[in-house]
Amino acid sequence: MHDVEEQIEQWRASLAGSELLRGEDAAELESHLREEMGHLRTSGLSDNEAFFVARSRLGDTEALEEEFAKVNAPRRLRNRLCWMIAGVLAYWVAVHFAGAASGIALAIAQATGGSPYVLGLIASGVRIVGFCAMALVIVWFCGRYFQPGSPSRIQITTRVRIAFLAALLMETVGFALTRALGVVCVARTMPVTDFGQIARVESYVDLVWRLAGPVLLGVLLVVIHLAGRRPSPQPGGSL
Amino acid sequence: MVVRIVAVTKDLVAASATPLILSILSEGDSYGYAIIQRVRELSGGQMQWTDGMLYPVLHRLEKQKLIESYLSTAETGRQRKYYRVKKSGTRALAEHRSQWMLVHSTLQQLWEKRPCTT
Repeated sequence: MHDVEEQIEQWRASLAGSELLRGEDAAELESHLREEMGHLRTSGLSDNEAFFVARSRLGDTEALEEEFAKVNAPRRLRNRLCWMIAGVLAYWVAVHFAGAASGIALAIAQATGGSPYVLGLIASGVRIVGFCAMALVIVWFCGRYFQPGSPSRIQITTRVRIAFLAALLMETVGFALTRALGVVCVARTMPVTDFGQIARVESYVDLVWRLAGPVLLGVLLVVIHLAGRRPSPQPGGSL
Repeated sequence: MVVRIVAVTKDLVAASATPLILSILSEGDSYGYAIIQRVRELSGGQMQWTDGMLYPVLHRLEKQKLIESYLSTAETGRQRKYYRVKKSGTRALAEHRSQWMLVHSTLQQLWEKRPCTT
């Protein structure tokens, strides 16, 4: 009995994780499954047999998703918009964190009195390393604290709302402000020619970074694509 | 004994789903599993829906405000989602009914003239 409960739980989780089915849809289907199983048991089937027959009568998950998609299409769009917003926000956090770190590094390096050329390289280097580090932190953080039922659906829980708000605040008040003020501070305390020299070095590095960025992104997409094509083990197996 | 199975095509199943559901609900409030059972029973087990396909149809009808749903506790103690037909649903059913009757009577006349030989 326990074994069947586990199978039902897995089956339900696979439905609940779909971006096309609402939680209540999965609950309704589960209720149907259980009723069908009860019916089948009275005609002499074992728990496991009843589960398999009832599940196949309901239709496989993919076919169900396809049908539900016809009704829940706006929901899919909303879900994807949520992911896009999350992505944009994560990008901003990383960019402005890198900018803030670069500004602080520049202010510190300026106090030690390096040449504008070196200062420019330091500012750019810290910016790139900061961006990559923050991106990794975000990925780690999301993997550590948010494990939704599946990779596809954003479940808008209080926790997710707080995370969104915190990221937005951190991004605007924390990093964006520090970055802007950092640039102003450095610009005010430094001879204009030195500042110009730093800006020039930074824009050269920026050029390389801007060319390398899309290439890196492309490589990342290919890696994700290839990883997605590898057949992943299905929990519970499929018939 | 040879039992001839009449397989209803997918298109016909899809087309008849709405009038079937509305008709069953107009007999009284019902829920997914019972609706499927009723279709099975009425068609002598020959109209086979993939059970899960019923729910998107129900939800679409609910969205179109032809039916409404409410939760109620079943005898088993579990919550069950019941569906009830609304006034607009009854009107829609009348419309479906006249269309189906028209198709039916048209075919009937043709087939009476030249009976099916199988």
